[in-house]
Amino acid sequence: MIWRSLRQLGEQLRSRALSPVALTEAVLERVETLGPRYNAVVTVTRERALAQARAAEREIGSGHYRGPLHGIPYGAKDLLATAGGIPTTWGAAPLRGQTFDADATVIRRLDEAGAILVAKLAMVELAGGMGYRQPHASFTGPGINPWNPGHWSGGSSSGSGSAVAAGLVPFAIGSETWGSILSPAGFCGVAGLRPTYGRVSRHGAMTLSWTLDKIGPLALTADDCGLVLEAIAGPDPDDPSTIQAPFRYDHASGRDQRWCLGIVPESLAGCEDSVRAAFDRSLADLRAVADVVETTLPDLPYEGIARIILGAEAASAFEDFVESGALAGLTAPEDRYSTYARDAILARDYLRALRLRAIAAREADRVLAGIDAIVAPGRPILAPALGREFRSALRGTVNDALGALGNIAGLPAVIVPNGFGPGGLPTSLQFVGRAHDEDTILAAARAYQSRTDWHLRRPPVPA
Amino acid sequence: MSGEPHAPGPDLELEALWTAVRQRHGARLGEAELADLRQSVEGIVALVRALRRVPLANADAPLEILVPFRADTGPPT
Repeated sequence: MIWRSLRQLGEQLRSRALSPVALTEAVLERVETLGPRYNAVVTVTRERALAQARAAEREIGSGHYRGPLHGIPYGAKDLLATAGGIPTTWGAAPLRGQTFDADATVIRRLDEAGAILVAKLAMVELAGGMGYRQPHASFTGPGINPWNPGHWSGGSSSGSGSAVAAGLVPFAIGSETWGSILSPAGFCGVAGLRPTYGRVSRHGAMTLSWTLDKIGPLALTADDCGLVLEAIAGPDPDDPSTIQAPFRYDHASGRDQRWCLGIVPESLAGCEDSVRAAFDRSLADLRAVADVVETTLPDLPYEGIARIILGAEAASAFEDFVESGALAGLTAPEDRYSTYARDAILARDYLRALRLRAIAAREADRVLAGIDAIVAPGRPILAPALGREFRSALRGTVNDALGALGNIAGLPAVIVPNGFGPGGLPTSLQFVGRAHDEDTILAAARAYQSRTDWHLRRPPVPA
Repeated sequence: MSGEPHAPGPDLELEALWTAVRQRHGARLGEAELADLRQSVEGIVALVRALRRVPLANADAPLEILVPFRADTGPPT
């Protein structure tokens, strides 16, 4: 039952070869016994999960099959509100007892799809918005990488990455403001999908940055991510930023002609040797089905735009939290004061960043209109060691122009594993697409995964 | 016009912003934290200067647009 794709599990559940209750009990057992090994779990939702599993068993048994997620357990990043007295901590010690009266829209939609919430998953405190620069930045401890326990799982969706990689849950929900889905997915060797901005409602989710936050899935394959996205996407009157068109995942879309993939030279700058070697190998694999062309992005300060927007919006979103003195209770020492510097962001500079974002978004679309997707290393570095300060695009110590552009322009991206580096740590590959076109990047990632087996490798975790 | 080079003076904008940050939050911070915070403010000033170097036209607007709110009917479709 462990490390099976959602499509495999779904077929077994639909045909009643597998019981939702048996699957959920097995998953709960793994979450409870192995979750602490990776600091991956905040709260196990055992009672809610078993009630949902029993309901799914009854429904499927009576012929009412809701779809491919019916009866499948999952974990949610602990910034998504859950009702029923289940805490929603945002990864922050001062908020350990925080509860909400209603489920976030994403949780409700997964309920409606028949999926089963088994755990609230660990995350970097306040989604990393206070300026952390080392892995130990959550009251649950540093996220530990299932491939090598001396290394970080990535963040801020730390538990979402490690829980999927370690086979604790078949899929997880994470969120990204700038890198928080792609980082843990890439470092943990699983697939992650950052949807187009507005594709998934943020109602009931912690806000870090209103104009950058996105919610998306992490799973074993790109195909699994597409299945989850279909369940959680769509307009929501409670989140006015949501795209009004519904999203239907076109998993059957074949491809008669060759792909045209663009490489952005900026995305290769500063890559570690093993990352570059894995990327070159991936390009060789992709050239069997794709033409690969060099693509040039206009010379704009993408990372500066992202940092100013994120800084200004986070300072406002957490103004009351900061004024209350609650920062002093955070885990990472630097999270207790770094955000004070954001008082130096002037309103006119924030607005300038927003105006430049519009230019960047138009330029990105012009580039992407001529190709199917940009292909790039998923992360420029391997998972950093625990206990050390790491390099971060948010602080300007590592290059991530493509990540900055993707997030300020609200573009979708999917990341998949593409090899291993020193220490047995995964490397990764990302496809960045045109706004609203998740189907194309998912199809490109599926084409890559159909030709490789990196997504079938498993970390040294008990099966 | 004297051809004498000007000695570099204090960075008035940086110092004004740093003074504002330090006065508001400095009392609760130690020396090491203050030094770290000063570096962060310097980083922000450097970032916004990079942004200011990119020319913008008067009509270059943010993507965000105001949608006047009505609870009863919502926006027109």
